Amino acid sequence: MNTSPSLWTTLLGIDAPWVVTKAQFNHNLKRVDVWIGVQHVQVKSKSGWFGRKKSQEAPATLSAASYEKWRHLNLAGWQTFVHSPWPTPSDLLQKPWVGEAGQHFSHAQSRLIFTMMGEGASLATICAALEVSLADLWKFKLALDKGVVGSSAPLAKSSKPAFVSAQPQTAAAKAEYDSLVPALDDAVWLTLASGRMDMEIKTLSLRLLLTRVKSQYQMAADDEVRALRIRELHRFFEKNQRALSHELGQLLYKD
Amino acid sequence: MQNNFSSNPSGKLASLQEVSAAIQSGRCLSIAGDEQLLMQLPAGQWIGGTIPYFMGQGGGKTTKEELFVTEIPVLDAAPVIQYYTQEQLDQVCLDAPENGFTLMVLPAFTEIHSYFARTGPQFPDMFMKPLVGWVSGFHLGDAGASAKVINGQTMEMDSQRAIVMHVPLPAERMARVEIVNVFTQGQGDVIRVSETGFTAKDCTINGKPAVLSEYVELHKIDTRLPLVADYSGAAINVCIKEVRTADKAVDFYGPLFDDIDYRFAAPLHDYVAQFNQAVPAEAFQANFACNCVLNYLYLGLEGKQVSAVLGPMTFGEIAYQLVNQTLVYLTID
Repeated sequence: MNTSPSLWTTLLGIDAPWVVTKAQFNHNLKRVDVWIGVQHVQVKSKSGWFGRKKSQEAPATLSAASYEKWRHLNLAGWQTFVHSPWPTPSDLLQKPWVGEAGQHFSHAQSRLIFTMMGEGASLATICAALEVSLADLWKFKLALDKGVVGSSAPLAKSSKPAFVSAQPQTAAAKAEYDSLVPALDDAVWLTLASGRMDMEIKTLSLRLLLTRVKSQYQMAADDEVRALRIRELHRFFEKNQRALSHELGQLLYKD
Repeated sequence: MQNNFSSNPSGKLASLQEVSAAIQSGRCLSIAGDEQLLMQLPAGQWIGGTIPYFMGQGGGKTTKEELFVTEIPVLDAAPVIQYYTQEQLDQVCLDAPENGFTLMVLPAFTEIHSYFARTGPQFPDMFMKPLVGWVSGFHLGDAGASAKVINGQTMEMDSQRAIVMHVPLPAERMARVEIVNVFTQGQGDVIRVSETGFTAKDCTINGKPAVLSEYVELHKIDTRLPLVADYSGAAINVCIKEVRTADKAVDFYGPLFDDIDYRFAAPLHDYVAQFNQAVPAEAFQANFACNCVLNYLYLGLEGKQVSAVLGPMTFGEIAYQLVNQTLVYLTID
């Protein structure tokens, strides 16, 4: 394995003046920890002709006093942890390889997890695919639920949440899509999740879920998280439509 | 849905011999009773938990001599019985069958009880699949006693893990979990706590900062009345365990959530009459039911028959999330 910090600077897509100053490997865990620092020009002295001192410019790096660590996307099959100067300098805040204060995952990793959640992947699946621990993933989910973190995506300009896809891709999904449940992009879901629709609910599970969804919708950090809540609500109706005829009737015949 | 073991589908109080015979006949069972009795049962397809309080066929009863047994219908593949540690518990709904239900028993006043109560509503796939169950306990007069649960397949008893039975159902059948709560929100102030948990200190009363223990004392609140939240039409209780004036703290039997508004319940005038009136006809055909020991104690249900919905009187009820002072039941349509 090439341990050159410059290689990892390239792999992470880090721009000057920032560079990887150190890369530390754990071959057993197949884990690499990289530290980010500033590259600057250091003046070195060198003896010249007749013993006169000669100045020469050489690249060097400065390390920060303290660091915050984030779990980033796996790179070249290695679990990658980025140690970035703390407090995070403002020009680094939006870099994909740093994360939000107090959170475990980098923006890029958060974004990938969020997308997988939005596609309906279970936490176990995400853990296996990304080699992250369930405990860390669970903390991320709770932070999402509480509105502490967002999707780590650029905020949508529209006030209407964006959906990953409203159309089913598989035959099974197509069959499900032929149900009575309004399509995912139907405005009724937004109305319901945002609390702007009064509905008489007879089913306990929907009462409990909808209360949670409304609360989390209001607390959500951005539109993508709100879209996740809406997908959750839609999925519940799809899965439980046999028990929801009373409630579905109200959705279908809403003006 | 009827079963063959008991004339009442939610089960009955039975002797050790009768329950042992039911296990040996291969029935799939949920069993509640005293620890010593549970340990004498033969291994088989059953899960259980400790509790000495019941609503039996003869009315409310406290006993260590009988077991409450509910037959779990096996209509599809065999149910899966397994323990969950606290670290595994958030997978419980993901592990549940796509069509079916999950029955869970948690030991009271343990880390896993607290963990489920606080974080259960956020578990992946929570509310998507029916989750029902109860919190095991002990006789309140037994100093030093602790709640236990048991895996009947292995006869392994435990006081720190949750015992779970995942029960698949054929596509044409459907399980539902419902509740009967006779308490309703009173007309009083709106209370919201500043932090989710079993203990509340700082809160807001109608949006203004306050200390909950001082509020309870000042307004001479009857602490047998639960705080009630309105979950889109479902009244969900959280019961007071103790008011610690010196610590300016109020302890509860369930968690208060920091994103939910609560009000103290309106007083009840005749619990038994109001309860019997509130129980829907479908509850009499429940395939599992449990009610709260606080209803048993506060409302003096010993010897009284409260509807025909029978089951253990427990230290907490699980209708997806943890609820208090509530009848929980499961039906299979």
